[in-house]
Amino acid sequence: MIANLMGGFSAILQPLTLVLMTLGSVWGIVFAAIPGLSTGMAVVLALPLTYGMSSIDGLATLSGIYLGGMSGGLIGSTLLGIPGTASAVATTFDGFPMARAGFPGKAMGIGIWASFFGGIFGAIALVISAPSIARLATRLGPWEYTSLVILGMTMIASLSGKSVPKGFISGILGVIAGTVGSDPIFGATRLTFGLRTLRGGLHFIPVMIGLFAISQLMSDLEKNHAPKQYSGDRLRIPNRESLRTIAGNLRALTVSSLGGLFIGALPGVGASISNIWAYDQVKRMSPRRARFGTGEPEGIIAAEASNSATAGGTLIPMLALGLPGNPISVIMMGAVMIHGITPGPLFISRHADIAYGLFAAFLVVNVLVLLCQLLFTRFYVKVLSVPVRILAPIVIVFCVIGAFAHNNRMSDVYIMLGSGVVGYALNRLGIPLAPAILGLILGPTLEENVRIALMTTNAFTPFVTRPISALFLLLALVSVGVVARERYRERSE
Amino acid sequence: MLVKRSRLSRDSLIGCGTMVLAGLALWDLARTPPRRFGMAVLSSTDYPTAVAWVLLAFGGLLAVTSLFGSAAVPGGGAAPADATAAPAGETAPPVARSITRSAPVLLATIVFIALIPVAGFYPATVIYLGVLVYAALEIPSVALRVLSAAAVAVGTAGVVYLVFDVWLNYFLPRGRIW
Repeated sequence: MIANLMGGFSAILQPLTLVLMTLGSVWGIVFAAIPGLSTGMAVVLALPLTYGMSSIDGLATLSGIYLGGMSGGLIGSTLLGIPGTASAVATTFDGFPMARAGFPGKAMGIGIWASFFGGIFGAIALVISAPSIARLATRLGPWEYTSLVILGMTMIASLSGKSVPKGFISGILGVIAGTVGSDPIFGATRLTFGLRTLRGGLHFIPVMIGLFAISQLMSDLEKNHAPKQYSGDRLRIPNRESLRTIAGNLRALTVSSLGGLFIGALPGVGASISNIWAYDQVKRMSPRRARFGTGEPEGIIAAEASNSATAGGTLIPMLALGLPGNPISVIMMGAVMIHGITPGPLFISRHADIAYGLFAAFLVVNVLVLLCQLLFTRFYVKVLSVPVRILAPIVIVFCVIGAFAHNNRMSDVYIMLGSGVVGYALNRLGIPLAPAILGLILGPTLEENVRIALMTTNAFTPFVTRPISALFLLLALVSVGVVARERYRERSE
Repeated sequence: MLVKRSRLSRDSLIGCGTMVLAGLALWDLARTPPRRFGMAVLSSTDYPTAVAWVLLAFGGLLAVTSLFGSAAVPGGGAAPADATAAPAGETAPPVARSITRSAPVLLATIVFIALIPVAGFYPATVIYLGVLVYAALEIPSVALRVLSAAAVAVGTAGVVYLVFDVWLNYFLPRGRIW
């Protein structure tokens, strides 16, 4: 593993790759900092730029965007009191009061350094655990894989918001969309409704751009976030003081990093939950719990360390098992597949150079994000003042490029536009969009494995008689049951 | 109460709409000749057919549960504290929204995409960004507004050209004009 990791570092530590990772980090930070834009959108829109790059350069750039996005949310949360992303909601609780009290630099400093330590923790855990889990997973047959994908799809229940049936409807629509065009075994066309455009199928890139970016932008335009100006001039970040504060709160850092990592590795939950969970846990344990919400450094550390550690956690099941754990890792998985690599148990052994390059990139990117945060804070604050109604058309131009560049076809741009309109309508109807993307990505894998399993044994019984497959199915049932119980409890309260 | 009833019917309509979609998929699959070879248990249409049936079931479930939900609301009973709140099982929009702000941008986007094959990507981009940025800017001086909008439009198109056409050698769609 060490030799592979060293090889990964030598591939990553090239001047061009470092520049691309730095640009990716800045891109991710900017998108996460602006309320209304998101990390997922940043990854999706950068995809066309990575087409022409080598796999390692492309994935390293995307890692920069992902981790930059995880860290960048703290800028809006701390300086404006508006979380740029859901993963930075808890940062607002103490970051904003501290900034408002006249210490914006200190609040930013604590957040940036806590985010760095949390990110490094998540990256190390990813490097250590993903190869071992993948080795175990290579023993799985199509029956186990089918059940594993079903287990992964139970995260639909967690992503469903308030209405589980609507979440499942969205997920199943995604699965159906994944079956449009040629079938994976015989190549026979289906569900094209006689339209030639649909014969090639609905590829997830244009659909994803439409569903995530276009529909989200339309919703943001409706909300019309007013541009905010930060009037403070004390943005100098006191690094020594920030590090001393973190050193004095090592327990908060450890608990939130560990919590963020485990929550990230679970299907269906992610940084949007981990930051609030960690904040709550650290608050309970703290002797200064009464000061939480008034600018307590422990609160900022908890929120930022946990959301950055989650980034590494979400990539563990994605790279080792081919199961994305949350919407952003769904997008990351799609991005990896664009580069001709299918994440799963064999990915790390067959493409060790790329896998370890990605691990090395994850470690290096944490340092780059730290530098980008420390050096360009004033630039991000300027960008925050640009209203969404001006940003939206520019972002849409990049959406068109992204959809077209995938296959050099205008029909993909039309599919993106159609998906955007559908996504906007679903959004207005209160139907969550993340399950649809999950269904679109996991649906074809499910079909392929079910059909191969049935071709091998000609019976459904092995799905429940093979112990590991039965275990996955049982876990899937438990997972849905737990969510259903939670929803029932919420309603009865 | 009227507002409440219209909200209650929303999920029923979504459920019915889902059933219609599932029905359409099942109809198209039924008229598609299935392909099956050798040992294959499932034909090319069996899996999507099964998924469409599941979609139909969930659509029905949503329609039925929301109908039961509306029936359970006491007609003459005590009104809930928040009369505008969505009933159980329904997901209300989180904030007040105005479609008047998003619809023009969506419409302009449709025109922009339709214009690409005719005018080409770069002219269409300059027109699209120029118009929308001009409309979005809140500068009193018309001349300054035009200049700013033109700068954003031409600047963005220029950066895209430099990155894609010049640096990445990646050619974006050309139209009949350019």
